[in-house]
Amino acid sequence: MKNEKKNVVELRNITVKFDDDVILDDMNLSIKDGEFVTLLGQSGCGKTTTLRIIAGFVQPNSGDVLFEGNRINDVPAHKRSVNTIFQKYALFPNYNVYDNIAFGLRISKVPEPVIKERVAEMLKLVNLEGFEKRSVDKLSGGQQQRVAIARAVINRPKVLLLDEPLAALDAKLRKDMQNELKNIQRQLGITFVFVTHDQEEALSMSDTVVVMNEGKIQQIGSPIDIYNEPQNAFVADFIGESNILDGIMKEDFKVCLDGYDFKCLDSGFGKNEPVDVVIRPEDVDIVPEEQGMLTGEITSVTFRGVHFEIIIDVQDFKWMIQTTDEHKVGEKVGLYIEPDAIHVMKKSKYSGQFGDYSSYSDELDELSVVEESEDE
Amino acid sequence: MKIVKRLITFLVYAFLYAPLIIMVLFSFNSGRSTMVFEGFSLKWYETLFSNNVLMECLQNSLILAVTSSVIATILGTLAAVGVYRLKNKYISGTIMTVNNIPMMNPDIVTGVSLMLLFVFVGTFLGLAEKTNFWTLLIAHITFNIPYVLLNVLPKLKQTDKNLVEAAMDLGCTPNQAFFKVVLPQINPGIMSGLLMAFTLSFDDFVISYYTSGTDFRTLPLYVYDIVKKPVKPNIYALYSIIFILILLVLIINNFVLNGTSKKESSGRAKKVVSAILAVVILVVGVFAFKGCETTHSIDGLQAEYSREFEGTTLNVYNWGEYISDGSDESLDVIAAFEQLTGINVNYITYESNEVMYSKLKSNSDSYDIIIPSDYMIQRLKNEGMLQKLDFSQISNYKNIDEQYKNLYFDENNEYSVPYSVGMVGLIYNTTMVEEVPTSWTALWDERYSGDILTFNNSRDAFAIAQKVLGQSFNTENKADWDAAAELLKKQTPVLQGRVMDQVFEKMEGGNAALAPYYVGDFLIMQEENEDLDFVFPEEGVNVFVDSICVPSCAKNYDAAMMFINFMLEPEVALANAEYIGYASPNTEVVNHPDYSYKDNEYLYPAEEDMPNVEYFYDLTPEIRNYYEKLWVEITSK
Repeated sequence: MKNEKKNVVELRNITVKFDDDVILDDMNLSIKDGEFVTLLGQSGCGKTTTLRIIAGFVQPNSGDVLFEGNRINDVPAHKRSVNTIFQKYALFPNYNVYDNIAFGLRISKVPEPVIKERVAEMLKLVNLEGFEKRSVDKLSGGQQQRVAIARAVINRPKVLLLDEPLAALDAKLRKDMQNELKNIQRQLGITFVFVTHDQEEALSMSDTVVVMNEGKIQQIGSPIDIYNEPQNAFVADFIGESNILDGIMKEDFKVCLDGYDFKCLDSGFGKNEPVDVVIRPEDVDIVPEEQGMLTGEITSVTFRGVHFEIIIDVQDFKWMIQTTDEHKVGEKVGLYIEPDAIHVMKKSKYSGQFGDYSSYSDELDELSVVEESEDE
Repeated sequence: MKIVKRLITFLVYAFLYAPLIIMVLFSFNSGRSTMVFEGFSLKWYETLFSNNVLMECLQNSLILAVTSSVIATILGTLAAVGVYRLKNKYISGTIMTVNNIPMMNPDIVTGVSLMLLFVFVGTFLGLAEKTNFWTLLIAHITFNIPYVLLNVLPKLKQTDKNLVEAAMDLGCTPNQAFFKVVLPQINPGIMSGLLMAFTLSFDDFVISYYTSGTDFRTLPLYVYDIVKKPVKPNIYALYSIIFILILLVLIINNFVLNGTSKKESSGRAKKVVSAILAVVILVVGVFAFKGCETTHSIDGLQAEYSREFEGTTLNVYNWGEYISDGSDESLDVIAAFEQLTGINVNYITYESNEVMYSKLKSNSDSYDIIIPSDYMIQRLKNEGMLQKLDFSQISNYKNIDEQYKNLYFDENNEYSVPYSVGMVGLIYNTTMVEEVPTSWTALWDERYSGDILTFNNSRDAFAIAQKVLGQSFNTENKADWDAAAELLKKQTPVLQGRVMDQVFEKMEGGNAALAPYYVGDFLIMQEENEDLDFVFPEEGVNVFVDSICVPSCAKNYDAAMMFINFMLEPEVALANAEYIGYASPNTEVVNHPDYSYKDNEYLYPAEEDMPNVEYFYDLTPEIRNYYEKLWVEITSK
């Protein structure tokens, strides 16, 4: 269905270097009209730079930026029909709410009566009616965010670029704003290019998620694809919790882990090819020791509300398992894994970098210390 | 503890503000004393506004400060934006260091180097006036820019970088983004830069001193010139007004800066400030012009004055407070001359012969009239820096007393016309001495130890010791100078201090018993303290004559002759003699029925009371250096 739509933005072989640091490395990306695309990655992965290339604030060292099929490398920022929502909103402190929202239209010399009408429309869209005369620094974070959205959207851009717009909000407000943004996107049908480092945000809002690391796209796909079928250890580790094990693909549908052959649904690897195997913590069942495919000892149990997080030592590999059943530290248990819980990936440069949870309990201790001190 | 803390706070503020409060208070004093408040009066404010020279200088200072600060603010802001946009941290760091050096630099270095540049360029371009209003303006802009840059740059750095991008994102060109978004953000920095530049420019003395020309004198230059004599309370009045204006501007500025958080009110507040500032400047400007409207008529002119030089500008370079200027209902001599002849007089002042000499030597400006003292005339004449006068154009020369013609420095009377005559003598407080002193040795008298003052000026101080030793002031024998120096060293233990202008306060306040000083100044002191009396010590005293001359750089010779003739008019000379308080060489003055110092025993001693007098001659540079070296030894002990 979406494939029928045209590409509104295309990046072709984009490379960006600051001095000698490669920020983006031969990147290719197509964004379809009306899509909600999220660029996801840690800070420094190049996601914001990608956004700024589309906005026109950064010139790529090489490669083409296409907008509706036309090359726009040389079009300055103020002539591009995209608008940006900045991380800290970047509202103009010398103007009030009304003037901030009207800014873009005034620059393009839209008649005042029209501006008035459209600002009113926008204020309604972002639920800020009656705030026209307010000074922007007297607004709460959420309200400032809405003004920023209204200020960008009023110009009816083809593409709205959002640079971690929710990062400065507290958790509760962020959830609300996620829904609100999604609603606005649906109502207006504008293409959203959204940058975040928050994987939950990415998974819950997007049509397409672009996982980036070290200036390269690691995976492009729907949130479900990204979660269930990560293409490499980096994506698997970055999105959600994962146990990533070294395995050997004995043959199609059969992978060997820790000396035990598991059935799986993956095929197409070479015979006895070393692979990375991802098993999500919620997909492992804890069973009595004798029924388990693997056995180990519980080294840590953490209550998380919905479930327990249990760390199990299996031949020195620390597995994380999420379960609603309570277990005790020191218990010897067996692990049971269904074939569809196993996801086999080709070896990549990230293999071995991510894996077990041996340092997990220490981290947790540190976190709890910090929390205590904050309470005081 | 709390009380101690409060006390300390109180003391700190008391020290900061007491001087200002006292200045404001004494500007309302009906007397001229700085010690006794004699009653409330606005008369110093009246004399302030009726002093044309002072008002013109004030007006000049305002014009200069406003122009230079506005231009420096524009340039400095542009520079700040440029530095801010530099990507290379090393280059911007270097630029900021280069920017900061002129601020660290002593003003005198900046001033002298700018003057050298202007003179060099001026000579290269063949300009007659190497320093003038424009060089002064350039100098002020130059030293103001770094301060503006330093005020604006931090504001730029505080500005959210995303704001510019947001503006461009919404369709602004980079220029539009600057004016619509950045400028309002950095405006407080620009305003404080502007204010700082204004105040720095308004009260700059050192740099102005070196870079100004004859055409444009600022208030600090004027004030510096007149401090040779005790500061009159009209200067207190002037600085009280300035202090209150600055206070007002600061209060308003703070109100605006605080107001920036309340966006709705700030726009209005800024307009209010601009309006108030404009009004203040306007009012001062109006006052400055006010004095010019009165007419100045003189009775009984002895010579004819044509208007053939109407429109030309005559540069007159004189001592500070050395001409009747219209204050205290006196005659405004300059204004009267201008009205009579149509010549514009550009009146500039100096505070010592040496300053005048170096200014002439520097060749940066041309002067038409100078009024140096005897020994300086000798030096200028010997160095070929004077023009012969055309006495056929100075018919009033006949008014000059014969005893002041053909003096040693101008034996054939070709170069100078005597203007004012003074002598040095010994001032004493009758209640503090046991008998009337008759000799300079009283200044070594141990009975008055701690109550004795002497000159803090090498030549005048040596002169006293020289007379005690029976030497001539003008001896070229180094052994004589050594002997005098020995004597002066012996004086040190009994001295309260070496002073110049402080002598007024000390003697008027009864804080010292004996002090040598100039007779005209004694008369002023005596008005304040009737216990003071004056004697010409028997060993002999220094007499000095200040005479009007025309330097060789003069451009308006005939107009200068007309000016000299005018200065010798009985009414004019009378007004000047009354104002200056020294003896007049003009017979028409001495015999004038209205002359208040007529027959004054100190200014005009009778034949039998006439002391032994000797003039200072211009000594050879070798001797000058020799005694200056001795003087350093004496005073450093």
